[in-house]
Amino acid sequence: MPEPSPFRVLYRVFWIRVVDLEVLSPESDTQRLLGHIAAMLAGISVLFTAPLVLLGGGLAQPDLWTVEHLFIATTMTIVGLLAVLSWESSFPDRRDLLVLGPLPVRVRTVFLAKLSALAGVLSFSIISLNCFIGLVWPLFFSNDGTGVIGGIRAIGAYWATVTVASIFIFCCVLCLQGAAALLLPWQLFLRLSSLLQVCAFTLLLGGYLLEPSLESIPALTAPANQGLLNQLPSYWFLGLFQQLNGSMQPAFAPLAARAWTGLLIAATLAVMLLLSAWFWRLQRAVEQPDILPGRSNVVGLPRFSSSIETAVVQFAVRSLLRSRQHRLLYAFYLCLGLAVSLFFTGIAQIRIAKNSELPSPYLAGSLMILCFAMLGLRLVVAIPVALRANWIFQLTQIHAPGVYVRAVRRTLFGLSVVPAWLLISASLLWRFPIWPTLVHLLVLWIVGSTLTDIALLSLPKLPFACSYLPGKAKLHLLFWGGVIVGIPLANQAGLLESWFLVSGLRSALLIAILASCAIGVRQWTTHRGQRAEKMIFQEEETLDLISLKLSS
Amino acid sequence: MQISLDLRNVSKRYSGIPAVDNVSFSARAGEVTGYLGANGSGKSTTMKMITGLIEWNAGDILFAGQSIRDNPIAWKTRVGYVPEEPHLYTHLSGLEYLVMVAQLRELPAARISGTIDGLLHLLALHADRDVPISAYSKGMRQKVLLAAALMHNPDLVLLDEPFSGLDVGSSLILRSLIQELSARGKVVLFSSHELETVERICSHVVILHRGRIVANDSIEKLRSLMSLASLEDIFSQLAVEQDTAAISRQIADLIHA
Repeated sequence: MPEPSPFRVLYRVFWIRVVDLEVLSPESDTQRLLGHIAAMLAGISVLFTAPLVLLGGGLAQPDLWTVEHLFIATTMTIVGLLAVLSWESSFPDRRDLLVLGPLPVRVRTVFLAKLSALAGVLSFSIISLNCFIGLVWPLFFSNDGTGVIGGIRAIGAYWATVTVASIFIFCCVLCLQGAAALLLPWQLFLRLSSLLQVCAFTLLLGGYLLEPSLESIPALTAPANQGLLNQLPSYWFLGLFQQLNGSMQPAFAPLAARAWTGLLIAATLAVMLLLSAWFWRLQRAVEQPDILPGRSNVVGLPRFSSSIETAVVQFAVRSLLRSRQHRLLYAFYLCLGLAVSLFFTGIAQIRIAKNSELPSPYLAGSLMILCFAMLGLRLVVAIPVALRANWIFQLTQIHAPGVYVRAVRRTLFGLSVVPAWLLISASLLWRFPIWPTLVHLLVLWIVGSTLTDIALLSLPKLPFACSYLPGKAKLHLLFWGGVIVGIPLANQAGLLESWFLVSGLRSALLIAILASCAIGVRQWTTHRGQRAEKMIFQEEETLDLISLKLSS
Repeated sequence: MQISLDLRNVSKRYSGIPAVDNVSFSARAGEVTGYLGANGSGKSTTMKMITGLIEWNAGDILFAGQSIRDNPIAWKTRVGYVPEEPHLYTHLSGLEYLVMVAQLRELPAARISGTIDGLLHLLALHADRDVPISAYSKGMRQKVLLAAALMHNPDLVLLDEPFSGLDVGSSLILRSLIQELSARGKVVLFSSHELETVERICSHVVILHRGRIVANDSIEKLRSLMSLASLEDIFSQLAVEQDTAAISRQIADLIHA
């Protein structure tokens, strides 16, 4: 068997490392994880293809454009998110230099292997996501009367469009990172890198969730929408698809032209930045010292009367702020919460002119932000930041679990309810009458406290310091179940609350009911915390050695 | 009464396979007990059982005559432990990590900053106290572990390969520190592969082989009993099964082929 060339060896290594697997799952089985990602993307593909069975393909033209746009936007978003997750794998890093530097491998070989790995991951994600969509749906996108040739052309046009759209978004993310790396001083770049990553992540997800539907000729040609269309690349590539498919209407022509221009600019810039990074930044990375002077970050973090509470809360704050994996996940859930809230707010805009009181969609929207913040944080704190380092918490547990449960309560409340509540307060207080707004904020505070106690039910565990079983999807199911059931429930809750807010007496009654519930739940969780014998650091005891039982 | 750590017929099995098998020995205050054995012989498992990080299947562990299972929470206030691997929260700085440990141990606030500051200075970490641990060298991480293990003035000091990654100067300091702690009445149980160091600072050694104790005595007594000149010879005879010279020849042959 011939020996694999250095290029092939490096390609395989980089392929696995392209998506920053540390972000997705520290210490995980990478091949298995990639399998899960492929299965998840293929699942989305099946989900999007299934309606065809129900609809029998009987969609009129504006609806078909909506579907085409949905697929292009979804592919672009997922590829964009993957590009954000592969943030540090496209450019040369210090680890590569330290590991590969002493080996007789040319920089050119390493560069080409990385580039090929990037292309491989890009293809992997596009194919996984469109494996069903791209073979079935384009048949319905073809021009009437063009027969088999039209169908084949539509399939080709679809795959070409999603490929160039993905390349465009991938290049945009590369440009963002590359430009920051080139323009900023090295240390500032390292510091800002994480922030940029979160911003790009939020922008992509927020853009996808909040993108308006403009897939009709009147909407595409309306002068008021032209500015928006110029800023939404998914519509450019919808235009490009029409051009490649041969179904071009005049309204799509400027969009298609913009797609080609955008692609050209993004690809050229990305290649230039990649090349300059590999042949200029490389030296900067090599020359940085092993240990850089740090700055004290003690100021500003909360302190409590109990030193254990201070330790647990500060550890959680630092973990959330400094771990990219946790930060991105939390940003993801906050984005969803914000999108749902904006959806409710959009409804309220219609009524706000008629009624100066606090409208019920605002009440529901703010409640949803609070719920999403709590649920998101609860999911994020369940993922350990460094599993093997947890021994220190085990070794220093000098009190019964109840003391630590109190600290965890403060952490959850402080990191989810307080920031969400402050955000809601800032957005409501300046706009609506003071009295109902204050009552609503009090309601949110009590609801937040109750949610915190409910989130504590499966503890005693410390935030970021308990093993997480990747197969344990119960919380995620709960989350998505909560989204599906929670939105209509929040709507009803908003309506009910607005009824209570009409008079002072009703408001007092509402506060009394909620406070009673909060006290009840608090006592329940406190009792459970006191009953717990020890803190949990492992979901399930793992065995260091496995007996084959050959002797039995 | 002299304080001592006593292990009585302690066993630990993983899925029926013994990792530590019927181990009994005593480590007394005022002397440094060396705990030796090849990789996988059960040293670290024993250390973890003593700290309470893992449970044992049989036997008992006593400190000052009392089972450590009687009050595991109170027990943790008396133990300082430097683990074999420097697993730390690398997103924290050295200072943040030590402050967190001090807070978790509920050291008085007035004492925390003085003690930590002093330890950081003495261990030559002060200049890098605000640097994330992820940037620390292995030796620096080892020093952080050492500071975290000693800051609460424990009665029992468990050191599992504490010299790993330390430079010469730091190793000499640690060597003297172990003797100093012992002289101040601490029970010190010390595991290392550096037999020369063990020979210099330990008065008593326990040698473990495949989870069982094969020697438990003072170094002097072992030397005279086995008629061997050094601890290395004693250890080789009791716990090394391979022909080291033959293996090294085979390695050299292999890379020359």
